[in-house]
Amino acid sequence: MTTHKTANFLSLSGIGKSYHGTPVVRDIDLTIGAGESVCFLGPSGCGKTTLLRLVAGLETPDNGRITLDGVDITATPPRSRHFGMVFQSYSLFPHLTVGNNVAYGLRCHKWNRTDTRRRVQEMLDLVQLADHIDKLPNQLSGGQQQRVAIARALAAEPYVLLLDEPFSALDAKVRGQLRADMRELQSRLGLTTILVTHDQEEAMAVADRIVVMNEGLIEQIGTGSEIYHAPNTAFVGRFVGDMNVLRVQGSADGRLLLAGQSLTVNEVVVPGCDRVGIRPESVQLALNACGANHFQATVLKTQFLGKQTRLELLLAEQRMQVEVYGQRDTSFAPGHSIAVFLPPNEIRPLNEH
Amino acid sequence: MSTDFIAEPMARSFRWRFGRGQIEILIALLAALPLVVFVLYPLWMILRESIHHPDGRWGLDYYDLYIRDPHFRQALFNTLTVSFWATLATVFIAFGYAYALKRTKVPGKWLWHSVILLPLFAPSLIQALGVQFLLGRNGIVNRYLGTDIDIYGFWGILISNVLYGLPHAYLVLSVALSGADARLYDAAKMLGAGGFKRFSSVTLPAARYGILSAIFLGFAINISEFGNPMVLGGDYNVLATEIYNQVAGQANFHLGAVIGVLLLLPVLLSVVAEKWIARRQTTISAQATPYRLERSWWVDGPMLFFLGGIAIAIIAVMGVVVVASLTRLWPYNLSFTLQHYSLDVPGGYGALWVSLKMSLMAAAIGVVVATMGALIVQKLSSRLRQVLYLLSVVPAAVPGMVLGLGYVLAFNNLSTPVYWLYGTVLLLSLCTVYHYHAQAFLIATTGLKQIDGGLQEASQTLGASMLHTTRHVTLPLIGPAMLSISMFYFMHSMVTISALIFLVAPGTTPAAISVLLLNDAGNLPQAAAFATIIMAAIISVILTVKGLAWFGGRFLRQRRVG
Repeated sequence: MTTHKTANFLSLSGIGKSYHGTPVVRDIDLTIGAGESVCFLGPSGCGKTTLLRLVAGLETPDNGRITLDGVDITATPPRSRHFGMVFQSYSLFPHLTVGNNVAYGLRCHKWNRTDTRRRVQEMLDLVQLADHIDKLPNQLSGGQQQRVAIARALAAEPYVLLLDEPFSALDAKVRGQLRADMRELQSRLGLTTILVTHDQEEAMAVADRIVVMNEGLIEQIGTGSEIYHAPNTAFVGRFVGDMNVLRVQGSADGRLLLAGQSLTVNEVVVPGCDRVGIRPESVQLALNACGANHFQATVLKTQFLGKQTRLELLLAEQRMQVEVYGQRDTSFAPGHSIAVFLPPNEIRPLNEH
Repeated sequence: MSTDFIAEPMARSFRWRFGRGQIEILIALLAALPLVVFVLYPLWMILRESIHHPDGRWGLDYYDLYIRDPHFRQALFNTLTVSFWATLATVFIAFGYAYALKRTKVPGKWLWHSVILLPLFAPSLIQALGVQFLLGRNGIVNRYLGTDIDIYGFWGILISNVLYGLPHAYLVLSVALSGADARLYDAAKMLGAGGFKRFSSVTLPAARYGILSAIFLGFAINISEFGNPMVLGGDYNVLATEIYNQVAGQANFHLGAVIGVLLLLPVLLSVVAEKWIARRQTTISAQATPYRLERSWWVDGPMLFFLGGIAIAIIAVMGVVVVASLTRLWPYNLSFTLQHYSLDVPGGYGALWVSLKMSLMAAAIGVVVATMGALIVQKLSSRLRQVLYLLSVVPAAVPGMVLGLGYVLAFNNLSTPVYWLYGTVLLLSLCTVYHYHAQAFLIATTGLKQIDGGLQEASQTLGASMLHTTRHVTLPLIGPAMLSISMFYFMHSMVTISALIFLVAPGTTPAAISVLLLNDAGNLPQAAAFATIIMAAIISVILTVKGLAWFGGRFLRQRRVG
């Protein structure tokens, strides 16, 4: 396969899909570069799998266009798109041996006998299953089955590799190993890859860029570090980093107000911003509520977890989680009033959603 | 990399999408056509015959005539009475049998399970023959115990119908009893429930839909059973034999049709009720802990006696037929002979060939019809799917006698375009195929459902066309289900009587009906011999097919890449 340096190898514009009148995916615009690894991340029901199936051609969008290298493929059936797909439940053909599973796509594309045999051998070497060529899928472990599925999807040299929650049925150890192998394979072969997951760690581990989705919409697109450290929306803040989201008021002179007090924020605040996010571990306990960004809060619950203590506080009638590390005495009774400090460099202004 | 490949298939797919709705309707119509011709049309002909007068008038006069006649009212009453008691007894015994096998630790479960399924491998008449050899006028009991039992009538029908219905009810009930959640039993025990209380408050409620299902299934089987009442009924008339008397005896098609419609109604109701209930049978929750059986001779001992008693009854009734076929003059001269196997009757062994030919044809046609039907139904959009599904399971509610009479009215008619079918073995096969269509269709549908939908999608994304996917993924995976369907058709075609009784002609009489005719002629030993031959033929064909399937499976798996 020749490498493509096109930045918009695969592009989706205005993609929408609804089932029985309920929109599942709304107005999606996205471009993926050749050789790039992209991950759709979101909670279940956010439309990420539907979006992947639309890319695969297993579903047809109600509106919008999908193009591959400039050619419109919106109405092209899956078998002519030449994409490889790996399914959550492996979907290996139970009546075919490992070798015949991998050869299946090659036979569909009319590869000759010698090339097929060579390619199957090559793919099974790649996923380190060459010894298992004559076994049936049910004689393999879950991790091995998923490796066969990957070999099968890659055998016919697809333009794009699609993976639908490929590691979620595996146990934690195998999952981590397979995930690392997958990432290594992807960058070595320069594969254009889309992976769907609800696990942010997995997304961070395998993707160049992460597409965070919620309720059928794209919330944010960015690298792992971008979406973790600079979430744009309250949803991304909560979903990716367990951020506390606090409602704030804007004052007439453009400052933010929390509980009637001024809140200093280092980052630039867009006018109209009414929410800020702060991570539980960034909030500090203070001796008193005097000074900038110091606030009075009420303890609702304390939970000692060994390394850290988790406090649930009520600040300006909003619940918030705080994690305190170290040996401080944190045995506050519920109802106890304490002071907290919100460091200005840790506060992230958030957009609507 | 070139992307030219995309332009051409895209144009093709556009054309396909354009005509998709029409093509779908066309395929649905093609699938529905045979069902209309071979199920709905014959049923309509019966209904028409029952309300259409020779002078062209339409009216319910024949029904009126029927209701007024005390003889017919008696037959209706008899049918309901004997079916009621036979159903009750069948379900009661089958429940005990299934309970013993699923919920106690009795030894020899494999054996007990096989014995109760035996009646499925024999013509339904075998029970009637066996009961005669045991309890009939010249039965072994009356002969050697000096009793004077008259088995012909209510009791004869009851006993033979119960034996015939047992395996069917047993299969339903053993499914209902197989899943038990041990947590419920532990909870009941902790709350202080004794053994009987646990049975009535946990076991019975969990199996209640299975029990109701078995009751309606049993009732539908009993009410439409023809062979047993024909042989053992004596003066005790039931609807199924009454149709036969009216049509075959007096050529009174109008009254036959009226009885057919009357027979159709309760069976239809039972089948609808059974389907409705079966849907409510809850599947056991995934968190359930399996019920652990404990040995308790207080329960297992009596259960073993019960199983033994029923199994002996089944084996005795069927076995006595085999034994009687090998004795010179049952029960007076018990010396061994093969003379009854000469079958010196019109037709003779020819009937066996007719049966084999018809059954193999039914198996071949049936497996295609049922599999195609299930495949098409699965691919259709929801409304068309519901219509075609309903049409496919309608035959379950049609008693064989009624379908057979419908075939005579529909196809023994010069104005029918397929009149040439009448009197051929092919029509007998088709009649059997559609008589058992619902069951075969459901086997195929279940088989298809077990195939993960993801496999077809995986095949598509790998570049396979719909045809390629069907040939290389779907068909190989439903292979076992298809094998079951063809075996199912073969077995039922070999033993069925009711649907074919009106369709046979001298050259095309299947063996199962020859048994009935031999019995009618009072030639019981030859009837027994022929029934034995049928059983042997079924068993040997099934063993051969199973063997071939086993070797075939091994052969296919050995295929290598390249």
